[in-house]
Amino acid sequence: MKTGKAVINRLRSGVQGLDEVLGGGLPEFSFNLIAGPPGSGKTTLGHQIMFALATPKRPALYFTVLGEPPLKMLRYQQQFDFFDLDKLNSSVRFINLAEETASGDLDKVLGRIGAEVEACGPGLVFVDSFRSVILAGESEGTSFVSLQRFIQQLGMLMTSWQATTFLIGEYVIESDPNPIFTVADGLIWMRQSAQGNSVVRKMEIMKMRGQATLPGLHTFRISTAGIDVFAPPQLAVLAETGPTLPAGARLRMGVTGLDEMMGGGLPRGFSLLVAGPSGSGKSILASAFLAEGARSGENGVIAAFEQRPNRSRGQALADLIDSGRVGVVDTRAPALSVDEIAMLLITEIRRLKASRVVIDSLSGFELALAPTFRDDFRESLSRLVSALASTGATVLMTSELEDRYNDLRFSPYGTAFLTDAIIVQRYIEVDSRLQRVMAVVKVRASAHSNDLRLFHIDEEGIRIDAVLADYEGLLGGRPTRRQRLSDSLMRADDA
Amino acid sequence: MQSEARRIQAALAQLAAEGVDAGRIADTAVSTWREVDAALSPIIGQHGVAALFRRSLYLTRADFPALATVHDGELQPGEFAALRSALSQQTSADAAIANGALLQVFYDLLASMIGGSLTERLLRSVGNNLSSGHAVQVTSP
Repeated sequence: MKTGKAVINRLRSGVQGLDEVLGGGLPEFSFNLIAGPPGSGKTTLGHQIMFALATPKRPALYFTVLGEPPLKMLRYQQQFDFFDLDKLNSSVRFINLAEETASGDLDKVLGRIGAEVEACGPGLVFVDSFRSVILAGESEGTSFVSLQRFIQQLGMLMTSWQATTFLIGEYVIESDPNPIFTVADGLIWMRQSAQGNSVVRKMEIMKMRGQATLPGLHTFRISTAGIDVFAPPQLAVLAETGPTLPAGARLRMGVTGLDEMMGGGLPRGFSLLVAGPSGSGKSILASAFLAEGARSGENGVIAAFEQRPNRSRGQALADLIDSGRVGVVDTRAPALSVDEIAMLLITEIRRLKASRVVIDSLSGFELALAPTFRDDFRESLSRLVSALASTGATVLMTSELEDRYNDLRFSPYGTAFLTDAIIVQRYIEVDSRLQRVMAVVKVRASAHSNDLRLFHIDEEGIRIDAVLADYEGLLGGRPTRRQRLSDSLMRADDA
Repeated sequence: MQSEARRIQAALAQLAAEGVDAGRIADTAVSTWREVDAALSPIIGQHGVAALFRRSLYLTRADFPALATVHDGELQPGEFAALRSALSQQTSADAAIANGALLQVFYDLLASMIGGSLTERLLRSVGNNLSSGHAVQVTSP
């Protein structure tokens, strides 16, 4: 006799990010529910999974039940890239159950499904939508089969038939303790959440027997390619990307003098926050960082939230992007989530084997997010930073910092503690001129300069100048000339 | 694209040219429609097919008054007796032309909704035995 545990095969769903969220894919022969309000993408998800998984050896049956007229469904679903005409009638068959459903006799519906399943021997079965089946039964005022019995019998039929099954249905009341939920092995809940004028699509795996799903609401997007689920960024296996630099190596910043201020450059794999007021030169510093990488053969990735693409972006950076040394993450989509940006960044890092990443800036990033994500910005950002760090890349983030001279802060989000190094830039007034100063505030586990250095920006970029000697109170914005010891002694004598 | 419809049209016109009577043309037309119904109704439902059929009659009736009577009569899903009777009262050439136009409109209508490739794929098997089977049948007495 064979002993051991039953082996559950997990099927790749063909939906980007969904397998991660499901905890490894769709369990074969599972009985699943895809539920959510109208327009939340249930049918699209069903179709995408079906076209990905259906083969002549594992054919799929897609039962349509009233609800959406099948002609309409075919009309719209074929617009998606995954809709594969070649699979039609060989691997994928659509069957309409309108006549059986209209009779209001759920036994008839079950009977027809059973007969078709026996005739076709499918490995995948979809019923869209189960809600229509139920409503049809109710409207007749009949009690042929209760909803629960219908679902249970269908579940039994499909499991013993060894078909992975999906019941698709609009379902609005989440709190309703519907008996279906106890029967289903998997429950995928889709929804659209609105806040202000922004609508964000979210998906939740409320249940998936036998595997550890990623809890929580996961945002997804529907494009012509189909559904993309943005799983929270996972910690990658360290150093799977990027050129192999010796541990403890330091990256040059591309600004003369800055490496020395940082104790020899930015340690590899660190995250650096560059904070400063508007126009102080944060983006220029970020470009210099990427350009320096390109000079030593390292690729970079930038997510720019501030500037319009190819406008007012420095020429050097534009050239790097054109040459393909620096990848750009598209940040123009409306209602972004941190997870989506994380996924885009990590995909781009992997593609280019990039070792330098720039996010310019966190303030713009926050504005680009859908309002619903702004509350959790700090938490998500922390996840993003650790996920980026785990790819082995070195990250530079800029942050807008309002100049407040009575309040020394480095970032508006408390992001300072998230990062390994901090550079702060400020404006000061000296001799009726607005001057810029820069200081290295922190480089974790490393000695660094504590100088407040003047700097200016010219054609070549950032030029670090001398320490403003003989002045004090620089961080107050209005430095005063330090009194010499002899001056004060003389004054003391006078008194 | 809708070359399928044209192929069926041509086969019917061929029969008419060979001097087959209108009753035979009508029988052949109806058997084609049954095949269409059989191919589509599992997917879009018998009522779905019937609705498309009725819309096709509506669109062609101005040019073919014979079809107007079919449109105005009571249509049951999957039932083409009215069409048979209307066609059989025409000359065989007219019957072939009227049915050909109706079929073309039906195919075009479907293609406008679900696209030419899907239409072609779903109705590929329709009328496959027309040129051989039926033609042989009608030549025998």
